Amino acid sequence: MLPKIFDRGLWWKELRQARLMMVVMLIVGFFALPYTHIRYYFIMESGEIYGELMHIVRDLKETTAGFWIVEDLLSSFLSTMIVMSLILAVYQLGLERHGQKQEFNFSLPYSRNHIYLVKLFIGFGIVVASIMINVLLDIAMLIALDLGFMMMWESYLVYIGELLLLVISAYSIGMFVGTISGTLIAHITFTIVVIYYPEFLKWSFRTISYLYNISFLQMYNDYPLTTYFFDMKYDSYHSLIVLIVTIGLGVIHYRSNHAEYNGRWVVVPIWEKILIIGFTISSGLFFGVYVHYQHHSGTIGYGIGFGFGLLIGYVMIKLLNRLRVRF
Amino acid sequence: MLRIETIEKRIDNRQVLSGVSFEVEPGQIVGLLGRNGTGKTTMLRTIVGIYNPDSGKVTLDGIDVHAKPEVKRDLVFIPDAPTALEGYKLGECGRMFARIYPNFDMDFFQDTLKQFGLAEGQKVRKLSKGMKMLFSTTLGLATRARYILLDEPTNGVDVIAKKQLLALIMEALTPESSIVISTHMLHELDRIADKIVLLRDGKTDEQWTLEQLQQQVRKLQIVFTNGASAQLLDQPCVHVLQQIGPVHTVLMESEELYSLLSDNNKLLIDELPLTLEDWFMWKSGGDGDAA
Repeated sequence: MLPKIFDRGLWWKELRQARLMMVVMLIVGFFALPYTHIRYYFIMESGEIYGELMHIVRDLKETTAGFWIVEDLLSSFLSTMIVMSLILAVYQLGLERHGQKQEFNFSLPYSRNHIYLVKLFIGFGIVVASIMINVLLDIAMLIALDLGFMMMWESYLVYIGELLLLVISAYSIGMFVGTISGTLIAHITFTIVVIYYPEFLKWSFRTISYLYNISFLQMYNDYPLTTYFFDMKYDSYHSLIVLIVTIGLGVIHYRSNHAEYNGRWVVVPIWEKILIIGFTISSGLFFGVYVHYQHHSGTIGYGIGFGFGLLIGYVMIKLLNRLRVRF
Repeated sequence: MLRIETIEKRIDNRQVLSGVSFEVEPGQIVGLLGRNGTGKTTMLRTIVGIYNPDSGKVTLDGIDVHAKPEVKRDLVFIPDAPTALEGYKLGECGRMFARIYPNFDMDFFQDTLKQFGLAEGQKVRKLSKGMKMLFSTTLGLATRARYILLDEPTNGVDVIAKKQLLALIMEALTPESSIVISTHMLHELDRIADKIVLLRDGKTDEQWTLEQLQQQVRKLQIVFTNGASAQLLDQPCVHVLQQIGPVHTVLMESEELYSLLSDNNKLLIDELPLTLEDWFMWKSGGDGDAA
């Protein structure tokens, strides 16, 4: 199995396709993490103790645990790398829907599982390399800044491990979304939906639970994984489950891709039904809340808005679904 | 042997292929004919695994191509334009294919590029339409795969490039290799094809070797003199290609009728060379040209 997976022709082809993103992720990651400490280093080297370096000094005074002086930076590094990993997924799969690239892939002597797994491994490699190179550079700078003795290295490394798993799982979600999207636009749109949809649901459930006194909707925040991309409070266990599930789903969906439907919103027939139903209900939820707050508050206003939204949503998605977009 | 067995494929609620079957034997050039929209490209794409068939199967030496895609090292598809390779340089494509196809003939690839005046450092997207097709056909042939599928190789290609393409294809053919060409260039196919497969309404309507075809179908010019009735030609085995006054140019698929007409001394009959285009016009529903 292993020699089969590591077919040099397929790896070369997929690496070549993703090489630009490898460079971009390294550069963006650099500016998101080690660059700040490199700047501090040069400020110190130049003998200037003022300016931005004062932030460090202030943080050192306020916290005893040295690790926390880098926490904000790591948190923004995490968000940046999640966004970049989603762009990488779009680059690897969304772009493939155009210019007959997927058709070319499918004509090669490789199974679809094989192609998808190679894409995924290359993506993992790029994500891990761009994170680890920048983290190592940052560690080097922290030591050079003589802050090493204050760092809680164990916590720092655990945090990096969790960060890695979280970014990889986010990337895997992006890849899975790509296996059902038929165009670049669809891939980007559905990725944004996956990120923001839980927030939209939270927003609409809040109104519904208040209007109709539905208690289980009030506990929305307690549902697992609903705010995956926003809270980042989940432990590695959750990330690992998300990773495994999305790899499995991605493999299954890529295998059943209908290349003849490239250019549509969705290329897996079952997801077309889910899209129509989901879009219609979401439109109902949106218009329900809108009418309730803007025109006629109460259950009647919400009901009218919801019904109108269902109708509008259904017509819209039916029209949209007929379109074949070039990008 | 490449065997296509009762392939069915439905796209956008339209039955594009409904039971296509044919075989490609080693050393053969097979012409896949059919009017626009009859499913030729869908057929080729299904054979090579781009599309999965709804039913039926494609086997190469008895192995299912869709179940064991590794066998596609002996099956290469060359589309009507190398769109997927446009971001690559010509040399890069050669190196990539050499990694994918174990029998890739780099010397043939490089020599042929030189012969056409193409530099390895050029980007595929910078080539003209004709040069793109010459390049992608060279790339496909250099894989030395035993079965090569060409989709409309001369579509939009000028006369000179067309000749070069045909020469390239003919030179690359070995007794072990086979080529399937989906094309509208019937004049060229006349000269090179061993077998013709006609697709109509998503089905393989007829299959002939060119030799069989020339034996079975006659092209005749018949002049009806002295009031002889042309009603004799109102038969399913006859197709009138052209009628100018009493002069009928027809295709005939019946020996009996031919003998009957030959014995009729009121008719002047002249046998003309049959072309694939005449036969295609008949079988694909061309209305002929009556004046």
